[in-house]
Amino acid sequence: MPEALLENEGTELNVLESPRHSCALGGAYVTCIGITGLTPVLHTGPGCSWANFFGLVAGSGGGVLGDFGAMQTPCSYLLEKNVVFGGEEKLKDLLDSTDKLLNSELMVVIPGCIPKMIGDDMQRVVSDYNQTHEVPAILVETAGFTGNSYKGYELFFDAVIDQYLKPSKVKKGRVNLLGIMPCQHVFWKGDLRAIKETIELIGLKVNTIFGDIQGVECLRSIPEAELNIVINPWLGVEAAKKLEEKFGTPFIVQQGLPVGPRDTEAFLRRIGEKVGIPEEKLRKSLDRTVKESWKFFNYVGVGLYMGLTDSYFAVVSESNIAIGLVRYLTNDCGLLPSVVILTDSPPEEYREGIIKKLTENLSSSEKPDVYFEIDAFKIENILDRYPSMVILGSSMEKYIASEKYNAMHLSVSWPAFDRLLMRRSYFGFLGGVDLLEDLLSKIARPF
Amino acid sequence: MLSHAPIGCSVSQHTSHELFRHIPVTDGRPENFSLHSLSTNLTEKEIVYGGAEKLKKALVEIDNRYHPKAIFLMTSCASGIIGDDVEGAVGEVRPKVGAKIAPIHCEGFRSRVLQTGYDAMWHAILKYIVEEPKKKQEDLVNVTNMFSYTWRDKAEISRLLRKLGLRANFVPEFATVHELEIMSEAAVTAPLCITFGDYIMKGLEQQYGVPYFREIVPMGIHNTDEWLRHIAEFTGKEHVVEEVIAEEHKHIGPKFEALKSDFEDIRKKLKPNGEKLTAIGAVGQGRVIAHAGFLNELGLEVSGACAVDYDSLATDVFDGLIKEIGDFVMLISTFQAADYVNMFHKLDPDLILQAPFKGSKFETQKAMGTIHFLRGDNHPSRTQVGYNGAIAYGNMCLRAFKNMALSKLISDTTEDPYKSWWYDVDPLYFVKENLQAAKLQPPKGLIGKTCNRDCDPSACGKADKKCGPARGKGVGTNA
Repeated sequence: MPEALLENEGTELNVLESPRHSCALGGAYVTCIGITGLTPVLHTGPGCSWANFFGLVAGSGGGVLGDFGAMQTPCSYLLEKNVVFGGEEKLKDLLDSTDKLLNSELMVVIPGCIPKMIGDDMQRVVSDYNQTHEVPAILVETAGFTGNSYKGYELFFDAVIDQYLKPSKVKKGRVNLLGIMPCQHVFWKGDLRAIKETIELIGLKVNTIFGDIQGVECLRSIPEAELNIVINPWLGVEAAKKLEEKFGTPFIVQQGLPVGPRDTEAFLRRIGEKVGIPEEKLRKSLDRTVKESWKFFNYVGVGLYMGLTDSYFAVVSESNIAIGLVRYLTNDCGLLPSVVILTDSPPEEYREGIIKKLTENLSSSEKPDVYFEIDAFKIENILDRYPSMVILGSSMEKYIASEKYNAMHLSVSWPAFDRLLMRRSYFGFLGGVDLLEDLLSKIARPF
Repeated sequence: MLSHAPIGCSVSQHTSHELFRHIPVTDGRPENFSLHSLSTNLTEKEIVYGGAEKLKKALVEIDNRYHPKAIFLMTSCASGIIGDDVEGAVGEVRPKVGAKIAPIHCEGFRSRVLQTGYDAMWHAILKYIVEEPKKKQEDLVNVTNMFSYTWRDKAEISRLLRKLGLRANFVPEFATVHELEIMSEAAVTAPLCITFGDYIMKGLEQQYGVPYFREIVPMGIHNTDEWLRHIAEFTGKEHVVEEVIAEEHKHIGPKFEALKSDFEDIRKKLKPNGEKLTAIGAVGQGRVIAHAGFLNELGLEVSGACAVDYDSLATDVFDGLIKEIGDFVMLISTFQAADYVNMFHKLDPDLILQAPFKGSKFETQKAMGTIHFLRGDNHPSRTQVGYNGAIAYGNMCLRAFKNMALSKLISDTTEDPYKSWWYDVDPLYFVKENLQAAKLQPPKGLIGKTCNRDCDPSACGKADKKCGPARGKGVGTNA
């Protein structure tokens, strides 16, 4: 195992500066608003949705997400008297009025810190509601203090699998995507579209769950898939395991978002092998796309020499996108990775695998140092120690990049307060070219 | 800023790293400006065993990291419920750190009114940041303002006060710690919002004899005149102020008249029967008051307003306003999007000014503008106060009438999240007392005509321009 410099991180710290995530409630909330037709119902104090809208949603490339990505979210608005006397009655009324008022296909109750601390019996309220109403409701076991937003994503899938999904006949050729989390993964809207289109090149039908106009139907049909594809070295793996346990759906884990033709083709071959697509058929269906993507790469090649000439680059991001970017910029673009700072706190058991992906099978003679760090102060201290001409990070690095390191900067991870991201994606055959387009546009000029 | 809270509470403060950084130093941003947002990151462990120890260590750690002049400490629902002795912890740490520590007791569940949080913040500033006056600064004017006023508003107000021979001390937005400290030395405290600074105004008067006025804000020509006259009264500039006002009018008057005449042209086109153009705005009571007078000055009729608060601080001012511009409907609720959409639909004003946070649905086929700009805005068109603000904000309203394609298209193409019956009932239908009184029967619409929004406009004899395509997937229990 290559040497990795693990910093003291997370819960043992006495103070934490601007980590790149929200709480479990926030994570479950944004996961819900990624699903069209689903109504998140917050059982929280007055500020939880506000904070997460202006934080987690606003930092994810902008936009107001659907019906509930803003001030429209139903919330029980717990006040001091509820803290003292309990909030169950308020939740009951809220579910009832939400059902009356809104065109909803599924309601997901997301508790905040207050009800968890005062001990509201929310399970009872939800099951009482379900007995008398047509639109179903489920309960996610969050509280703000339960963990970070990734935890919220996992708890959401726990709730859906336990309380909502039913066994179903498997449909040949159907696959689900897991691991691309709304908002936390700032490119989620564009990436999910791109991944779907790319996998469908080899004849499969892809359920992205998030971002689809029939979101709740996508959620309901999860058990119909013959394969679950987790595109993330760790997030979504627990959900995939649980789906295998309950519905027998096998899964594969793609460690890192594939960027560029080589990693993308390898990714598709793995899927092809798993579902039994003949090699010849696969090659034929990708032939044109592969050629086309190398042609575009060739167009931008001169720009790479002129603009980025063997630059050192640093990455500050989630593991998933970091792996994709490091492999592409090193193996395809000939750049030199100096340091990678991972900000998504992967569970211990996944860290060795992530470090390997970031340091092995790289074409450069120098390998990047890898840190797991979420504190903004410490991240800046790490960046101080490395030569970086390019920083791919969050917008929190934007001004230190230019003012302190004189480095180019592009926001690729949360928060991306300086970008609007709707269809942008660095995934896939042409995703790398899109990345270079954005990066080189920062310095394009007459010469 | 330190949040004594689980990590999600401060998630929207991550913007602090970038806040104001795009503003050129030549436009007045301090070169060494830095604002850090930190959290004690309360987890299950602290929820059970208490978070005071962690808080103490956090304060020391922040002091070591940044040597700040001040640390603003914000409490949370979680810290409030577990009952951490915040004052005790801070008291213990205070002698050990160089920074002033200002604990703000702002547990989310304390109140549904944002103003409670403002009051808590001002209390902390007054108690822990403001210093005893060393001297009186007769030319210093505290200007209370919040994040809905822009860098350009600051420039405009500073310009006007400079003409009077005065200096504006903007608080708490745009202020340095030093500028907060010297609030006690000012000649007067003036508001950009009639309610936001209420606590500090009274506090500064009570503690340090700094007078204040609260009933007027400088939005629109007339209000700016009056606002400046009020300040002049407290600073002995009564004579200069008339000169300044006259000079400004000479310059701005023709522009404002042109603006009014442009609105009149639009009115003639849209309302050939002689009726006025109607407008509706939404945010806090302070801005409702400021906007209503200004819109009236432009020749628009205020048909309604939404506010997140309404209390005794503003009732007298409202009485005066209604006498001046006539009565209007006011909806008071804390950003209840469904209520707003309902009311917008009923009043169907020609111009809606709103904060764009109400989901994807714009409930208008007509002109839409923004209710306010934001603190980081540094373009001249994004001025709202003073004479230049009257022109810039008035022009924004005017531009809203020049192309209504966006609001119309979004209104037409976005599926309605609400069931159709919602548009037939009172916006306050879900208020518990109303529900009980009405026994779940929809009351008759308060205002305007109602329409079953499930209809097919092409087949409906009564269809008019207001009808969009058929809406609503479901039929409510009362439809």
